[in-house]
Amino acid sequence: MAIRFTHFYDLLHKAGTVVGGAMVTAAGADILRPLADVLERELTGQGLSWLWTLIIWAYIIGGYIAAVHLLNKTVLPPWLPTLLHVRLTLFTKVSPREADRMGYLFDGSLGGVWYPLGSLRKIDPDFRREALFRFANKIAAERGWRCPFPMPEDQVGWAPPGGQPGTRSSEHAQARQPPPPSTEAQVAAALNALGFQEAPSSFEAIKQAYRRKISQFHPDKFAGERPEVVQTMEETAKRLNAAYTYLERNFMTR
Amino acid sequence: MKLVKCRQCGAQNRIEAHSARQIAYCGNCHYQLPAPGAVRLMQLLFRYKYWLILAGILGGVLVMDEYQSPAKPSYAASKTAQHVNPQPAYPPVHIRPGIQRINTNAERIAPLRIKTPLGSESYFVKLTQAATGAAVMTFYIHGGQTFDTEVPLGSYRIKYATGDVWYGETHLFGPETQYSEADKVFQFAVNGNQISGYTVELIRQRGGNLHTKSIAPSQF
Repeated sequence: MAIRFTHFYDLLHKAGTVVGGAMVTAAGADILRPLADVLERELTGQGLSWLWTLIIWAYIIGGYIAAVHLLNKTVLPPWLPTLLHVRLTLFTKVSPREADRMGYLFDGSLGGVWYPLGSLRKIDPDFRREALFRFANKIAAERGWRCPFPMPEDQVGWAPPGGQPGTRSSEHAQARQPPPPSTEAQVAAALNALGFQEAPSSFEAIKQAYRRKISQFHPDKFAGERPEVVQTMEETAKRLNAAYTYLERNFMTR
Repeated sequence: MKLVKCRQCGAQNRIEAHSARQIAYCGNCHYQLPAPGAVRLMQLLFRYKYWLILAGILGGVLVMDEYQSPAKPSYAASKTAQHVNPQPAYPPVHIRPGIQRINTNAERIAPLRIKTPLGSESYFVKLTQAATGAAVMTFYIHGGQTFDTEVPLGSYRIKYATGDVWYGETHLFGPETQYSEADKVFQFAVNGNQISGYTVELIRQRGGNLHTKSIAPSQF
């Protein structure tokens, strides 16, 4: 039986689970050995050696499944390979909880497809997390799942004029949408998209932040990646452009 | 129904009961509501139950190793000897646990109970006259069993041989047989209306009152 794995840490995790499961099962057998010796003697003495064999096999199979479950709940949690891959290969800081939520990108559960995302290393460390989370959100949205990483614009409810790039909308959905937020709120959301928590004193700061950020999310940086990755970065770039354009028009005049 | 005051915002919260499985949060500020110490401990244990199980297994292995190593002082030596010595030429013999031989016609009225530790080893116990050394009775007991019998009145010594595979009374447990003898003389006598008996535990224990020593096969 071959072990299917995606990246190196996934292989390590799977091998560790297989070997560790066997070791924990053996450790359990060691603890139960005195009892097992007596049981074996009693059963074989009474001509019930078949029952003894049955018990042994039940222990091996059941014990192994339980041991693997135990390891997955303790020292070898399912998110561990993702965390190691993201932190040690992509050099991006994520917490175990975040690694757990983005596991589907790296564990091959998307029909065997996974995303190495090596291009993330080309961009500034300050923006890697955002790029990674945006991509995880996009893949989740494509599959109809809830986006695991809420983005600032989601929290404020801002959308660039002319609809959100990359999202489909129908008349029915538009009819149910709440009234558009005020200009003040939209400016705040656009600033948020460019990385500002508060309004800067001058538009020059916005321009600099925009240039720095747009250079990081430029689709050319992700040329070797899968189309989904490139598309995500294009959407992000469009979003930044829209936010900047909106601020260009409204920041000074609000 | 219980009323619990939130430590954060002071709001009164009604909860059914404190649970080890669920943590109650304030409905107003979502801060964790205070719970009794025992409940908090149970919540903690429940939260880390898998770690506790894993620690139990690993601790159990260590304890078992610790327990088995003094109980089998010659374990490593016997395993080494197994590689050096060839298998015995004589075949294993099936034996039923219990009394094997009685070399006396005296009435057996004094109780004797022998407990053996869990393990793969079996015990061949010999009761001998304290004065002459003549064998009075022999018993075969599996590890982990408790054997009850009656013996004649008198003063006896208890010797025992241990091993994994029984090769008959001539070879006992083969070349790996371990021979031991209890230091004490066991007095089975009538005291008034009572008959004194003994319970002998061949289980190593701290502070035990029965000392045993290894003896040569010729002394058995």
